[in-house]
Amino acid sequence: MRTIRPVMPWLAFLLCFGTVLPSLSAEKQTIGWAEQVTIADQEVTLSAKMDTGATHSSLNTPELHLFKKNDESWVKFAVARQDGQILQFEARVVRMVKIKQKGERAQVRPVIHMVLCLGNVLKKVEVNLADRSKFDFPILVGRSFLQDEFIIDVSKKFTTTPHCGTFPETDAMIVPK
Amino acid sequence: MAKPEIILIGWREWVALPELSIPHIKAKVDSGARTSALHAYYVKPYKRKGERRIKFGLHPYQNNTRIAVDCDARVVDYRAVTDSGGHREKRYVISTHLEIAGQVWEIEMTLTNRENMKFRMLLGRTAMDKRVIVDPGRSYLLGKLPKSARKPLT
Repeated sequence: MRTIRPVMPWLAFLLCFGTVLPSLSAEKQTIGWAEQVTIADQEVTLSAKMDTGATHSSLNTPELHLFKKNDESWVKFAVARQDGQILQFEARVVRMVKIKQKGERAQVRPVIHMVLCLGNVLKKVEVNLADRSKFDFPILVGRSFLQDEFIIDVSKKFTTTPHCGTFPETDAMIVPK
Repeated sequence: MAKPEIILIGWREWVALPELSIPHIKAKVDSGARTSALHAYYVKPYKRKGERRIKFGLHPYQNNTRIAVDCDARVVDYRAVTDSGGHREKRYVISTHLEIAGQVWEIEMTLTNRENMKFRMLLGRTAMDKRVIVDPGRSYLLGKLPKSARKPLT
């Protein structure tokens, strides 16, 4: 077992880069670590945690049902609105993802496309359907949504409310009663 | 007293932990985590003049168990922490210095075995609060460490 010696020349090299703030990020909007987002054409508003540690987004769906439709894999799941009303959704499964956890067997969860609105930014992104019922936030917004438009300042939260235009047609549809 | 300058960083950065003699370690900048976390493959808590301390071993580079650093730090807590998968674990919490772009400040980190994870260090919200802001679409704004610099000097 070898011990590492401090590498001073490289540390100085790294410090030089840090003192120059890149201006490329200047036109992005700064938001907090938690914000309101809407899904499903503004039918559902949820409190979301901005997760720079996650590649994609994640939505709480403790119960979901996989089924076949026109030879494709689809998934049916429920989302609770802030007023308590439960809405049923159906979406085509884009892929299945293996979620590896420390010391536990890997779980396989479906990934779908969803359109999310945060501030005035509307984007269709991959969302994995997970059991987040034990967690504080029903939805995590990952890097694939946040990149290009947002800077995260963790000293702030709920700095904006969703105000996007009309949602485009999307795979995740509310099932009418 | 002047407020510290807020530094813009990407979602992945090389940072330094000078009190632990770690000049460079790749950290995942994780706004989804409240507390920062650091890899430790062994921990040995002890007391020095009545102060709770801990010795621990770290492999600072992913996929490399030959390069190891033996660290010593002050213990501030031993508490249950929930990870991103909802898995609950009791962990030692240390207090140490973080160095980013020439600025140094005290942070807390929980020690946990991250041997099979991509990043040896997670930088969480309490460490970032009022010190750094994150651009999730960019990486290594503080500079990239060449692979040749990772080998220990003989």
